[in-house]
Amino acid sequence: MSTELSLEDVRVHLGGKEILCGVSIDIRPGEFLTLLGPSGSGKTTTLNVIAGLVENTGGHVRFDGKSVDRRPAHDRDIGLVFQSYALFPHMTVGDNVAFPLRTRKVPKGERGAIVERMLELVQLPGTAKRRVSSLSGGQQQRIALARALAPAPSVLLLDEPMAALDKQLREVMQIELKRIHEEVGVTTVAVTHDQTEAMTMSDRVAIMRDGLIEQIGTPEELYQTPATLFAARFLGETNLFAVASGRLEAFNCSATKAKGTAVLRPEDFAVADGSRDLPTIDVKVITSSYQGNRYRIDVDRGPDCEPLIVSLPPTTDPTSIAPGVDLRLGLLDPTGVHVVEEEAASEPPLVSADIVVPA
Amino acid sequence: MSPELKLGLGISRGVFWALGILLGIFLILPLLIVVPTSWTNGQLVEFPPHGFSLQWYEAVFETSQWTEAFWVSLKVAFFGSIIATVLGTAIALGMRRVARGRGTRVAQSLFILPLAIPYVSYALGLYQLVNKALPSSLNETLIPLIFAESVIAMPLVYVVIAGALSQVDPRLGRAAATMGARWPTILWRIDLPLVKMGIIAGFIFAFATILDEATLALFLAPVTEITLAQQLYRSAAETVTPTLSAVSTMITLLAILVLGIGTLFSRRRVGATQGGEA
Repeated sequence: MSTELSLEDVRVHLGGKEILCGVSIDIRPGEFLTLLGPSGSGKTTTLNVIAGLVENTGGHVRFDGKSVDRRPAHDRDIGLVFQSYALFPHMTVGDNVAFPLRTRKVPKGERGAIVERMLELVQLPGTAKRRVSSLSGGQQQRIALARALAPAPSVLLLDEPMAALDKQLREVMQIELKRIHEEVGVTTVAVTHDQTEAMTMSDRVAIMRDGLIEQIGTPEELYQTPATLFAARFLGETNLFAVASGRLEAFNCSATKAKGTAVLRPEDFAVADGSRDLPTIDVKVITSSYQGNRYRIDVDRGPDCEPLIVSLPPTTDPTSIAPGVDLRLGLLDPTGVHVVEEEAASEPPLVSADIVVPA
Repeated sequence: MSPELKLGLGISRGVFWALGILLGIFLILPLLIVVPTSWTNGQLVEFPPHGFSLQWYEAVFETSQWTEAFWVSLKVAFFGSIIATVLGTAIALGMRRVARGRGTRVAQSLFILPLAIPYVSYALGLYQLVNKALPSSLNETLIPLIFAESVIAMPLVYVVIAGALSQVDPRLGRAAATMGARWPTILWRIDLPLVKMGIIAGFIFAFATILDEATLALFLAPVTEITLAQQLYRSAAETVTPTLSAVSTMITLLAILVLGIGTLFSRRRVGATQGGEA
């Protein structure tokens, strides 16, 4: 029932510039895949190529193995939720949701029932007669989703679906979208630059960079075993340590690879109290902030090093991690440290890559 | 006056008030003189009017020259503005689809050009063209005049509808395409309904413009069918009677009425397209 979607070496040239340089993804039927990347990485272009709004100059897009390269947008049987929702302001909510049914020549008598079912799915039953402009941003977003899903499309595409919502509503909608996806089971591709959103909603995430897929995997895989420093830095908070001659120098312990960079997450550390025999590092606290479920402390580990970001349990004594305090941190799982075969210096740090740019 | 403007201008706002009032008087004074002269009891155009009667209005309605000219004007204005509206709407919708660039800016200027060229030179050129190129059976009808008028009214429609379209999210058309709509459906169900008010307003402005346009009519109207504006010129050249005042008053009233309705529609247009934005 669900459609398998595959992109094979998809390329897009626009105005002498190569925007997509060979993107290949296989998306399983019913899977929820998110394209995550900074602006200009080609994620929206990829989505538009799947939708048929941008023509691929190379490669193939296939729905269930059949090439749709020559099929224009109106012939692809897709549902697309725009960042701005693009609801038709001159129609009622019901007419908006019924629009894709009308273009697909669904008999008039059946439309009403489908519309009502869709409105129930997005938890806005009975709003069919209302004007679009009378709805709040979050409600409009739900209507846009109902409209995209009404004709039971082969593929659902979401272009920065939460960007126009405020933070709290965004979190509610992410869970809501996941529920709806599980209920409908349609193959879904979403675009976002918000890593939390990508991890919350998706079965798999594809990190994009400069028109290419950097890494693709489940949120767990991407977080625990990033393939590159870019992927490591883009998803989650990251601390990088040089590995040379098979040793993690800063902790003076052995590493899993001979050479490269170890990726340590904030929760990989604990305050060393001598009760366990852990590799340690001496640091000085720069700032500490209480965030409800944790303390986040930024610590200095010496000149010419990026500060470390460390998570400590919320039960930690705040005076023991006050700014200026010297601290000895232990590495919790020295044998499980993930090492990327790249030099830390080869990859400049991202400048607030996960800042959400409002629409 | 908005509070910010009021504070910003300070004492000098008195000057602006005075200028505004002066300008208003200057615009409305001729009307204040012409209208009363039309209800004179006497035989001459005089101010202040001599007594009160509606005899000159009666005279207008009883003279076939005036009533026929009125119908000719209505016919020309109606068909001319329909053609202008169709052209202007098509151009505005089309211009939105082509890629922005130097070429589109040149094209935009070209479409507005009819507003800028002197009507006399345009009329003269058309006169030559119609006489030489068209069979006499055609140039003795109102058709050349209707088309000529539609060309000068088209820019008005184009500007009004382009303005209305600029308020419409261009993604709506693309959204409709992803929902399986082909271009005729997008045009009919999305684009045209969204600029409906602009189209009506454009039509009305075109109608009002053509209704009292005289230059093109002087050159292109057939001898047997002359427009109201032409008839006004003609009788003014012979003798100035209060009939002229009566006709002028009625045309002015009609223009105020038509333009008032037009403004009402162009106002509502804004309200109608602002919904649905996040």
